[in-house]
Amino acid sequence: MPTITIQYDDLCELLGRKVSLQNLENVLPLIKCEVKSIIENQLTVEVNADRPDMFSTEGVARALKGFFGIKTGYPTYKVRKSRVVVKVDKKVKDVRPYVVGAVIRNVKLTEEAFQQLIQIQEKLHDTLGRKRRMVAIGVHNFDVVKPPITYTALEPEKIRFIPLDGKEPLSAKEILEQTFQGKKYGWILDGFSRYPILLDSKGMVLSMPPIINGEYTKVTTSTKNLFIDMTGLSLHVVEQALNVLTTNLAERGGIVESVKVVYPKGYKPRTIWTATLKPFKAELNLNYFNSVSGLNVNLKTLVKLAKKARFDVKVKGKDKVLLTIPPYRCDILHQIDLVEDLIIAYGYNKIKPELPSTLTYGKELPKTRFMRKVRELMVGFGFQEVANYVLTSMENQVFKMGLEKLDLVELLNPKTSEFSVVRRWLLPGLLGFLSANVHVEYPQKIFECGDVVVLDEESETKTRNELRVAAAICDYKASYENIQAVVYMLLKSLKVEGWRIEPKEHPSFIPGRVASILLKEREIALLGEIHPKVLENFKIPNPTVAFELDLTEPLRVYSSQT
Amino acid sequence: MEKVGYEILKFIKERNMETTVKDICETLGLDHSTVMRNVLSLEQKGFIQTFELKEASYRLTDEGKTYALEGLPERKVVETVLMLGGEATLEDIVKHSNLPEKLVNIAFGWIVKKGWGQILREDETVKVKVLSKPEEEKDEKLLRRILFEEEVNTKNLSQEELNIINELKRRRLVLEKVFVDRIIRLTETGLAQLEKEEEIIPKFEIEEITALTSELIVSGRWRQVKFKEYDVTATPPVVYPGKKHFYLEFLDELKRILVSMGFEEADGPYVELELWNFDVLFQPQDHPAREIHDSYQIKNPRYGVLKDKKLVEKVKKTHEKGWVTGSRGWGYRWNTEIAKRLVMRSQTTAVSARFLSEHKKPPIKMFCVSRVFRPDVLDAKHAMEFYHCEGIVVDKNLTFKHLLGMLSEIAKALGIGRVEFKPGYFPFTEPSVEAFVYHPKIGWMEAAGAGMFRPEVTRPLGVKYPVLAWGIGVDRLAMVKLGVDDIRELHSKRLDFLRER
Repeated sequence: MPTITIQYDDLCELLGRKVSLQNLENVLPLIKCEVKSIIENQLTVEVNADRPDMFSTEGVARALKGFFGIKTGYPTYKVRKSRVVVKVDKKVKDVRPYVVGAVIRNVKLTEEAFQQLIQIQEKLHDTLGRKRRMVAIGVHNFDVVKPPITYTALEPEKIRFIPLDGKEPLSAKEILEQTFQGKKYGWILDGFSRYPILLDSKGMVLSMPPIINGEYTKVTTSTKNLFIDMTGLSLHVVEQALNVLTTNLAERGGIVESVKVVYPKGYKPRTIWTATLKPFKAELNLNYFNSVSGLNVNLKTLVKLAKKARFDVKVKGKDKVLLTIPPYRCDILHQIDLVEDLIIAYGYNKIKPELPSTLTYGKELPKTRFMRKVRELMVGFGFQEVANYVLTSMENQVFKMGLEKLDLVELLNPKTSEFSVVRRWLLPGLLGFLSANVHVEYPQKIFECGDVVVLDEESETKTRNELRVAAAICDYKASYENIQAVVYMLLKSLKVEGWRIEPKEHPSFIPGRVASILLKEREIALLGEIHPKVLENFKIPNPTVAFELDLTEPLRVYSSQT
Repeated sequence: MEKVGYEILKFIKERNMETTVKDICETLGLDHSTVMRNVLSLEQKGFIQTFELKEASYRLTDEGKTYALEGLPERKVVETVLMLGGEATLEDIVKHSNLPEKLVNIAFGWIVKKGWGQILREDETVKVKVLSKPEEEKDEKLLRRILFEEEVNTKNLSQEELNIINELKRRRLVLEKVFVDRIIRLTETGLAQLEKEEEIIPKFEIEEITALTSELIVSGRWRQVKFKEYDVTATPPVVYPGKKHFYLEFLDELKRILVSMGFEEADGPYVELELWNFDVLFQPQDHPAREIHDSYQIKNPRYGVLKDKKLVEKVKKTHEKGWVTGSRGWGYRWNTEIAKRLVMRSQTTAVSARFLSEHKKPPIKMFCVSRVFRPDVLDAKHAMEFYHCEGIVVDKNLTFKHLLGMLSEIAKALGIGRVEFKPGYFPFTEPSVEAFVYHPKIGWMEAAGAGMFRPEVTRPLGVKYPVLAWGIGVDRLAMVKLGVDDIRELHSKRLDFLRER
């Protein structure tokens, strides 16, 4: 979740009143801002990911005003039409098809306002913008821009400008290779023959989205008027981001002017006004609100709550209201989202919990009960249970065990090779465990009961979980019959019938000292004395006997009988 | 001297200088041959004297029993004669007494011997003359006594009675059973020797035993041995019990608590379709959680199969424009290929979704305690796999208030006390809530995320009722409850740590 910083004094100024830090600490979590720390006068706050409008102090202040009752209802934004036109070239369609823009006049970029502007851009890029792929934001000093503006795409070799904070002109290639932003976001342009670019009528570069702005339009704390561009892959999403950013700037007194964007053939509609900041409307039913929330409020209270949540309300009949929702609320998809907003306005801390009267009887899965039985038997045989991770390495599952290959599930994006495959059998985990305990008192008798994952063509996930139990005895002396005795009695205690044992060859075990157990002609268990080569691989200095048993069929029989 | 010999001498002394072989066998628990061998050797050394002791016991034969009840034949004859006037012929007696002639003849002999009457012989006839009814004789008394006692032993008979017994034996009225025993008497030499031995033997000659064996117990020889004394306060060797894993025990306990609250357990596969892990849960396909940094994708096998085509169609429409759910939808083109992708399950909500697709009828209370996976580097605070505990409640008329009630109740059942609620955000629930609990050491900590499933989730699954859903990060809860600071310890590879937990 996005974490932002807020200056206490700045917040109070936006609120228009002094609210104690203590009060803020209590109230912020009730409106989706978890306070992480307060150091001197700086609050660090984690904002829920669904509220991009609160990724800056302005948005948080706006919501707080409603919650405190300082200012409720819909925050009206007056929007003028600017004369700025953005012309879109059809070349952008394949690489980055949409652009929207806005002009903000009369901004007072104090140091803190400036920091907040940078912060919200960053957070919008990361969230709504999906790391700039969906939305890239450019904020410019409007006073140097000469409209009309062209949004086009050029071959990289034709692009050359001074990037933001740069000293001299760089080519597109150099920008991607040398600048921090180029290295971080260059992948978005991978494979495109032309790069998107915003130029003014003089041919000066505003930005090369989604990578970097030009130094030419750089914004400082003394900038008075701003031009904002947003480019991306979905008109809807770039408009949302624009609405958030512009309304937040408006909260500091900036005057928003809409911008006309003219698209070429192949777009629909071809001419749009962006940053009009038009609200949208949605109905909310009183009964619906009460049936979800359980709060049983009347229509009057419902209206009050909606206003607290910064909606405008029009009562329609006895049990319905029409809400006007501000344009920055890009999270509202359904009536249910409005319900939550009103519950938040009511106050999560004021709701009296109520116990559902739902009457059911509980039960565990047969698997859980069966596992408990197996585990209790193994404990009875004197084994210590261990709990290994399901994720492990190819090295452990295959090579150290003396195998050449094994069909198992491999991760596409492991963080480390140590945890890069899903365990296919339990025994390697047990040997790994023994190898970590060579200086601990012997005998070491350990077991694990749990799921492994096997490939299964028949399954919709092409895999399936398989329940198994495995155990190992490691001691100065350990003989085959030590483990064989356990297997026999385990099978007997689990009432597994009709099995037979036969000699087997397996690279993990000493030849002539390994057997498999067959049930219905299917191998369900492997038991024997671990091969010294394997012990050497695991650096286990003592003889080890072990078994692994597939519990699928015993579990099936158990489940059918209970 | 052998130990057994010594023991026997000691025993005789305890028995007032005299006992029998049988007594030694029974009391000392020795077999007969062992005792006899020693007795012989002791006698040769002059330590004891032995006397043979014969004892017998007597029981009545069937004939004896009859006479004991009805009287001896001689008495019957006498009584018949008296009845016939004090004098009668053999023929008359046979006729009136119901006794065979042979027996009457024998009885005549006894009548004479006992002096009860006279036998008169006149020509060919034999007559008996009796004057009066005789007193009861000693043999008759003895017969009745044996009848009464069933068995009498020589020990309990006087010499006179023994003589009568011999007569009865000859008449085949009693059966004799003979026992031979040996009386053993300690001599003066024996007593002196014993006193001498008593001084030395305990110190040098009684066998000292470390291990009690089955042979010692069965033969009774444990009586002659001395057990070596142990230092019972010395440090013993270390022994470790078989034990369940402490964290899995905790999870078991958690399951039991949820079952006790009426929840039914469910589970699903570790390798999951993105459809169930994300799409059904209304997480848009470009949602950050679905990116390579936030969920493990599978290299092999890369894709699964979407079996429920109808569900897939509903999910697609819901994502794109909201379908009939009343939602605006996410407004993008939903891609079937992405839904087919396989991932390591990143949230157990996938299990809830699968469960709801098969159980739509309220009331439902389901829970799942299982593993989830997210790309992370393992360290003290982070793990790439951990446990989630998840639950849903489905019923008519459930509200957000009930969700909070449920969460408070679970917190109570888990023994975590005070709970506070804050708004939260999860893509699949609205309204959403985060439950914070107060921990005396840590302060307020997030314990659970919860909410009511969005219509965009329930409608495509065909669920028509409110669904309350909650999830608990079990690892964190366990760390607090079990006092573990490092998340890796929950899956510790240290055997000594596990043995001591």
